[in-house]
Amino acid sequence: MAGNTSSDTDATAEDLLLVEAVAEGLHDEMAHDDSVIVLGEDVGQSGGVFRATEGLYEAFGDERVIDTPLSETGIAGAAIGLAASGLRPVMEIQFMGFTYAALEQLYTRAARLHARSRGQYPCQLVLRAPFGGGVRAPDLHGESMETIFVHHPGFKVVVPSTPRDAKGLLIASIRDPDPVVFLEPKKIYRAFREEVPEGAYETPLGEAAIRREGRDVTALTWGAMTRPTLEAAADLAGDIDVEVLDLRTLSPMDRETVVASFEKTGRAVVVHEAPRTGGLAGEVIATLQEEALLYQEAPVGRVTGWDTVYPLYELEDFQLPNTTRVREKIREVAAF
Amino acid sequence: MVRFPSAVDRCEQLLAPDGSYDEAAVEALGLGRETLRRMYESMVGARALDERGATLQRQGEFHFWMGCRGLEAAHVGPAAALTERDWLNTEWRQYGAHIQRGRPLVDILLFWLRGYETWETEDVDDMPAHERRLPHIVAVGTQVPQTVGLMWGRNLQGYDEVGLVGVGDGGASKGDFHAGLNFAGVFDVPVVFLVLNNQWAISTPVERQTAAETYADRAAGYGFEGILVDGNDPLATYRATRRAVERARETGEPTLVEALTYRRSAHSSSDDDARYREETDLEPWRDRDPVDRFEAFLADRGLWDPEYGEAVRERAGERAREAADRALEIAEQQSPEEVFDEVFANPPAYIEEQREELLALYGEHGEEAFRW
Repeated sequence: MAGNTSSDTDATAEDLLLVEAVAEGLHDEMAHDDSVIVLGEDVGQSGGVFRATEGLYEAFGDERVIDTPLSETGIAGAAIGLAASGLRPVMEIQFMGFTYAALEQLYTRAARLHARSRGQYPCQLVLRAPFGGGVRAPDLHGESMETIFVHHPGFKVVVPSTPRDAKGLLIASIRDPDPVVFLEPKKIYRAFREEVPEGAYETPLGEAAIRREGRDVTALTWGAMTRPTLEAAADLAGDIDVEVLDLRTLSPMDRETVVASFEKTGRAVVVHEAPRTGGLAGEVIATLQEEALLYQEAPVGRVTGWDTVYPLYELEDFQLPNTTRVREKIREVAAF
Repeated sequence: MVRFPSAVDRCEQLLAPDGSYDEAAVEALGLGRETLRRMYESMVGARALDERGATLQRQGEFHFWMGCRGLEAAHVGPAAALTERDWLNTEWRQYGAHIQRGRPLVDILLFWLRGYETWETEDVDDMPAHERRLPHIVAVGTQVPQTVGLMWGRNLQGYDEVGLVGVGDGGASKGDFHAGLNFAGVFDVPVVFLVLNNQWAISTPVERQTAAETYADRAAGYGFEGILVDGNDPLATYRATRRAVERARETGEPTLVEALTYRRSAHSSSDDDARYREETDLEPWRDRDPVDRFEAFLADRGLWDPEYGEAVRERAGERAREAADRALEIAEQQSPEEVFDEVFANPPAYIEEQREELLALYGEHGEEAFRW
């Protein structure tokens, strides 16, 4: 994968899965800053349903790694108060679809506390949630809700797609003074290993990563969709030269990198799992229209989830963008 | 069906509606002349502020107003039971609680004119009592779990502080109420939950909020004590809250205090209560007026006479007028660049770009172009 990962066969002690990198990021930042606490359902002794908080309870005890009652409203409300008290809570919502129950707390308070107190109370919290589909889970376990947090002022929204980024972006999110929604692509929690530096380090928010350089078409994506997009680019190599951008931070978006790539290629395809209508591809396209219209050679393509109520189990395969859909859309845009 | 404190056996009361009282119970409170008068002055201060706010709203100076008439004992008594280092998060109309904590009236009014609040003291440890609060939140009931989180966090950091959070009978129907009380019970968070049961949520009467006789009974479901008090009796609301605060400080155990009272004003300046209740419904509650009741009590204790009462009312009216004038003056100084202030602690570049876009348009077209 374009030099970003090492293969499983030459794994070293530092080679981690994405989910392990999340756990290590939490661990290292908790060791670095004792105001960081973790709360959520089953995050303590069990280590989280995906094991993303594995080892924290043993390392930091039940005052800093807190198993809560089953109440997303309570987790969010308490996390907001904990943040106002001067701590740095990292709240886990077990699956992103369970965030619906916490939205009033998040929208009406987390996103506004700083503004409505004129800076007296920052709301330095991180909402971590596994998001996206493809793991054959029940209803509300496959949601991609990033757009609603990007749209609502006051949040920053971050999506890693590699283990190294997962750790560095998570630590940067915990250190950022604003509420950060940190979405973990669970489809690739255990998909591949990558060498991850030891100790706490930051991968800056607001910077996209160029995963593959190319001259003909820019493919923009994030999270689990980075993999099929890179595979499509590899399939097309020699025929169409595809540049793959992993946005990493969805809000604030790295418009500079996005626009610079489009100025080079003049053609773009946006890939996301979330439904098409009102999805973030529209925002990317508007940015290109505003800032690089005269470079445009073709309509910008969208490869997205359909505008459905998320279909479950076997039907998921027809909902999610895949390598074929991405590849065909890139061909279409390149041929225009 | 309207509920009267006298109809519920276990409803605690120290002062009867006519001001008569149980001497031993009052003595046991150990409240001095200064504290009692301070509480009285806070109640009168809240009433004066309410009258001023309502007048200015009618005159078009304020956008919106919410009255507190008849609720002064439910607001002031509990606040008086807190120490300087405790925290207070309120619902809309608890003006008396803030006044009792020493909050400047102009600060209370500016929330209604600007929608945000400001603090003088940056460091939480140096905050005076009236600054120990979160900004007011309009999302009903959401302050309940937030207060639990706040006190939980203060506690984890080693502070020996108690939080008091107010919520109405309507707010107690929200899931946030349940989540907050449940978390506090499970994690032993030192919070006193004050249900201000004024029996109305806009036009919806309390029997549409709950089929239970009391809110206090709910505490059993969370594993802690609930106390029902006559919400128009400032000494009953004070005593119950003090007991709850002391317990919270000593053991971390939360308490639910229900103050049973009655909202005599309309919900807000936008509400017409003649559409859903009769003028005669208010009569029994005028007879239970908390200010009258406290005056009768204080008079009996030699702490009130008509001259003193008149002086307190006059001073309260004057202060409310001055504060309102000052608040209007401050609010007028708002300018378009403030629109983007403090949306983020670490603002992304687009915030500054949008600010520049607005200011360029404002500079070009002027104030009038933006006024609808």
